[in-house]
Amino acid sequence: MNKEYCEKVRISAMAISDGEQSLLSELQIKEHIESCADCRLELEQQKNATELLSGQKRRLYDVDVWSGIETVIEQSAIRPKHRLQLWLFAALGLILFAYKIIEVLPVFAPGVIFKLMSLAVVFVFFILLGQNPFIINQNLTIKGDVK
Amino acid sequence: MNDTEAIKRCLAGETECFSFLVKKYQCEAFGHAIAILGNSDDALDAVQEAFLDAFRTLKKFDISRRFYPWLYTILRNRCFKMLATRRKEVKAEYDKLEILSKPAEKKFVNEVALVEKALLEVSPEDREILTLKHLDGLSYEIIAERLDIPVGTVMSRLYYARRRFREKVNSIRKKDDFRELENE
Repeated sequence: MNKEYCEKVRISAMAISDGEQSLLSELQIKEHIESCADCRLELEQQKNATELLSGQKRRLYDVDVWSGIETVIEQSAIRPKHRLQLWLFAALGLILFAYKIIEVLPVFAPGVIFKLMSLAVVFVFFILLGQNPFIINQNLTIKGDVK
Repeated sequence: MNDTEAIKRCLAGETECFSFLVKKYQCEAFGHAIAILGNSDDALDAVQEAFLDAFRTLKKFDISRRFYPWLYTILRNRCFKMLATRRKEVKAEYDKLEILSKPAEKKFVNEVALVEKALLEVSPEDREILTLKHLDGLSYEIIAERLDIPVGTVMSRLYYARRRFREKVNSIRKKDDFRELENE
């Protein structure tokens, strides 16, 4: 018997027993099973395993995920008001950066690039962080003795 | 409040609305994570990370679709990523039921323990598809959508998963340790 066709029959029989559309018709499956002892045995064993699984129920859990992520979500949330502040900060930074360039252009010298580099690094750093450096984190606490 | 409203309000800045989604789906997600990972500690980490990922990428969510299937995709990615890094460290606990619920009748205790043990011994991929089909009763089409694979692939994966599950059941039945478990 063709092994590939046997697999196709077995998969189709499984799909039909699951109430799904199969690759082969019921008649094709029936005809094959009647003439193939291996498939008959395989399907019988498969049926037993399926029954074993189908009689089970998923364990229901009562977990509290929210309390574990609540603080993180609140901290990572960028509210529209904060977003506006971030844009204002970015715009202000851009204006200052442009002003500095205009200021140094008349006396342009190769060393000027190094002077501008520090500004650029700071600007890019806060953009990458996606944070306003002027926001105070109220959740930070000091541990230990403070004199 | 429904899912769509919660998502819209969350995107508008009312992040506390995300708690509605978390509280609604946390138990279901936890059950699914356990089915893939095989233990509750990792499952809790995976669910928390998945909800955080979902929150961070909520803007990308297509509001016309249902929330849970989208979250499930994120969750299973988290779980498999976790398995890839912790596979050698994680050991399933066979002495307690994590995936299956306790049977109502005492005579089925051994049967449930056998199924649980066999499920824990098959691969996470097999365990996932078997539990989606048999414990959640999902159709091939919905499983295909959840796993992002064609229906034909669901059919063949499920067939081979059931076969491997059956082999595990048979080998556990043969083992002496299970006989001891039956006597307890």
